[in-house]
Amino acid sequence: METEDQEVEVGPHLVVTASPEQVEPFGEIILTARLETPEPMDVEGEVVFYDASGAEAGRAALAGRYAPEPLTAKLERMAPSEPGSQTWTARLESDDCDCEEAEFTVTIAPHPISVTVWDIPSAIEQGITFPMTIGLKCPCGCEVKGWSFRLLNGEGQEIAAGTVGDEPWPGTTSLFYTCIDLDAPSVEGHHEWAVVALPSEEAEVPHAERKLAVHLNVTRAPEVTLRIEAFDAATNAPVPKAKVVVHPYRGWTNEEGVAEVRLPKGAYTVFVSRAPYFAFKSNGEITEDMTLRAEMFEDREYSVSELWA
Amino acid sequence: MRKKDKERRLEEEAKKALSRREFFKAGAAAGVSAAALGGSVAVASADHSEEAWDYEYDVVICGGGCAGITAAIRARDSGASVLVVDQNYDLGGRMLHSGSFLSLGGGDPIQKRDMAGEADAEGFITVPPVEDPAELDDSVELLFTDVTDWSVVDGKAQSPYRYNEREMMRAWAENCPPTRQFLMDNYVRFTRVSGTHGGGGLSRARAPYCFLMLGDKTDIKAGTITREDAGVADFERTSPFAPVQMEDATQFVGPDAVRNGVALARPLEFSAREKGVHFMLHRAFIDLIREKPFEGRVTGITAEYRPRVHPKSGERLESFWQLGNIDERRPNLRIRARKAVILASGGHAGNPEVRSMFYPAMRDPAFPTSGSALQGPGGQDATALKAALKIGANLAGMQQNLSYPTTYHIATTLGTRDAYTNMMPGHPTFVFRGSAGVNVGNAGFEEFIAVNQVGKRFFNEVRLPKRPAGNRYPGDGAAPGRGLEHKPLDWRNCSAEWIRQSYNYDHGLDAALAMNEGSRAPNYYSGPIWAIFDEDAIERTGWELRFPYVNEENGYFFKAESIEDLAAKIYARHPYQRVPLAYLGKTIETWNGYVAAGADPEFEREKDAPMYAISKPPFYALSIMVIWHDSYGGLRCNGRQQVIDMEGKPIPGLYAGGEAVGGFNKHGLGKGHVQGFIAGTHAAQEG
Repeated sequence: METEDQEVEVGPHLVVTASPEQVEPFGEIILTARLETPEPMDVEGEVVFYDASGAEAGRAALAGRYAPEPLTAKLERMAPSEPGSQTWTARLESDDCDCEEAEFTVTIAPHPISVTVWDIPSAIEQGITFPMTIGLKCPCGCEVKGWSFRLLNGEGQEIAAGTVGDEPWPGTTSLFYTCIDLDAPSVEGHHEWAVVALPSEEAEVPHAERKLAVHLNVTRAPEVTLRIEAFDAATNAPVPKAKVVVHPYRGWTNEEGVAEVRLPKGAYTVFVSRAPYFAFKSNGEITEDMTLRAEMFEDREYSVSELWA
Repeated sequence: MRKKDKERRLEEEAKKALSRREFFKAGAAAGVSAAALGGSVAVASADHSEEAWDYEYDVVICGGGCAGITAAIRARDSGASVLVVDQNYDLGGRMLHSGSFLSLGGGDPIQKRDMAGEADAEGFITVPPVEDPAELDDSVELLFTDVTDWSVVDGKAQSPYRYNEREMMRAWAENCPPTRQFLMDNYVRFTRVSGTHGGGGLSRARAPYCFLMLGDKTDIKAGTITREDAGVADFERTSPFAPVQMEDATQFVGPDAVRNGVALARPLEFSAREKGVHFMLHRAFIDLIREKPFEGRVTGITAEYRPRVHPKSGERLESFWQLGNIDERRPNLRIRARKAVILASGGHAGNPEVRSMFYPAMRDPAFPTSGSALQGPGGQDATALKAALKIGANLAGMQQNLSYPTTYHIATTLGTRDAYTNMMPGHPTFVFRGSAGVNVGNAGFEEFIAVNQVGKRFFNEVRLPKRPAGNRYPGDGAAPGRGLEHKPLDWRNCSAEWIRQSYNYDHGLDAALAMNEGSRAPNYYSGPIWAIFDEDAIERTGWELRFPYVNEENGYFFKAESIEDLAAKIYARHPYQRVPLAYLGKTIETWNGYVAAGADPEFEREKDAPMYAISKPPFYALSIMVIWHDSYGGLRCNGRQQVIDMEGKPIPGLYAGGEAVGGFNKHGLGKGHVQGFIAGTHAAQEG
């Protein structure tokens, strides 16, 4: 039985911690090596960190910023992506002090799944069918071809489920997607749904389930037409290709600077914008077909010459 | 006899330089080597003090920008031998990438020319004056009153003129007309006057641009430049002659005229080389040498060899012209100034440690000063300030760094480290930036969300690039008579009521520089800022995200298939992204909810501009840069541009001009040229 009298004297040694305890793949990991010595010592040196494969992961100078705290060496770096617990080591390089290599544990979280949802119309009329495109991807490079997802409504009930296809979205190499048609809710207003990406059981490494909120604007059937005529305030010329936003409705002006938006009667804010103009803004009640003249003023940026010589 | 021969040879070589191409060739042949120097121009190892001198000149000028080259020509005109030492590989400093909007006044020759409705002597100007004669009717007294008018406030409620050094301003005002004439006598051509530059006074129009005419050959004496040299032959290419593509000057001159700092810097450089000024490039001025630490004359400088080397070829960059260059590569030199040293090596905007004394958040080196690619790491690095403080110099107007409303601002050019200065491939320093950037304008800020280094939004995006109005005229009319009538020295100019009306500062920049979850001791850097958007934004705007505007290799533009990929790429590849953008995914998810709801409860974006979801892949990130452009605080000088010590006395043999000098809240070239003119005049007259 060990007694106080028989306490084994421990020489200088490193104590290394990794923070956070579980780090996201490619996230930031902070390795802190603390030199503990039986007596205060003046030590100059560098701590070298090695990853699970034995490759150097980085090095940091031993420094005591808040004496008389123990000397520490801190390394901030990007975490690896392989999930699970790994044993790393740290070694002190110093002419002032000998101490053994220290082992410590680095734990990497399961791979996330990126969920991307697009092509949802900004305004969805009650009860109609509308499109949605769902894409899945593993940011760590695992192939997610054919992986599954669930679509939940605001109450958490599953309203659809499916898998992404075998072809990546055009212009990408590993964002696998599917296009689906859905029935719009019958209740007007904002709806928050969710897409839940499910890890494949066949995946070589663990992945974490991921949930992404999806927002729908469900509207009544349109009743009136708002005609917008955008023109340059200085020249009176039409402003084509201007964006028209009458939330949640959107459109573009044509070559004549005209856009028509069909919408239910109600109060709206109208924005018409296009570089290099200030955004045109108008608030009002729309109760019947009407035309709005959007006078666009140039947001003339001072030229470099004007600002600075 | 031998000395005279060498002097004569140098002068003959200078005279050979007539046109741009001939000058270039002659210069290449006549690059002055260290071994060739001697006699009265430069004496190696003069026994002046305990340590030997490597070179001797009458006047040694630190910095070859607007103040330095002006001082050099002026001193040389007075018969002094002159050496200009510059840390860069080429001359011109910030003048070369400027807009050349050169505000002087006081009844200068260009004001008088335009008042009379006359054209320039060469007949290039074919358009009538831009300003009415009443707006050009100026005097030294009025100019002096304007630039010391305590009552003027700008849109940020700062007072630009109140703290200007009075003796220095008097001298500046008196020397504006002769400096204009001096510049004209050295091949600089001025357009019609059009308004006044910031800090140049409110009452009159005082600023023309500098121009050259497009022609078959570049010929400084004839006033012509080729389209290739001007950088206007190809929309996406500039030249070694013009780091910034020249702008059309038809409005101020007539057809085929182009303008910017090239039309100012290159003619002055040409003249300086022609007149026999010597240049030592790639040579960083380090310290001043004074007889005693805080007493006696300044007798010279030390300077260090710091070549600017192309990062890919490994070759040293070479100046466009070489005539008068001294090819000296020894690491350290002591250079004697028999008459005086003139500090013209710029300000401190490129030194994060120094500029942070005014705004600690600007200590982050993630944000360089403007023109950093052109000027290199030694540009605006506070060398003059540091060296002069070591020998007892005083400071002036340090708080004036905060007075010019756009000293620091958020640039509308995204996706490049050098977001203030325009540059296209074709100039040797383009490689240091790697991309020209995409100027999205103010309107472009509605197309994305802006996030900080941890991926969180921090301000209403469309208000980020908005800058407060300048102090040019009350109401920011930008020209006399177009704004409110200004009555100088009237208390109503800074009445509380007027300030309330005119205040228009949005604090987006301050929010951008705020500490966040990624800020760590001891500096608590705010870190980089990113514009995040999706493929739909490209379709809405037509932004051309391709080289040379962006570059996927330089760390200031990223494209990815998912938001998580985008965050990972930024963290891995941007040199100042010290922490992951851990909140980016959640931020975008939240933002898309705001877009659907039509309301942004965090920053009220919906009040200013429409909002767009960020949902369609691929996704993009462009760097948003905070710019600290220039310096207004600096060394205290008297009316002769002598540097003043802590006892209020001039330091013998030491002058300064341009951004090295404080106590003058005048933006740009007008300050530097006149101060260089004054310093060169008096330095050459020293005993």
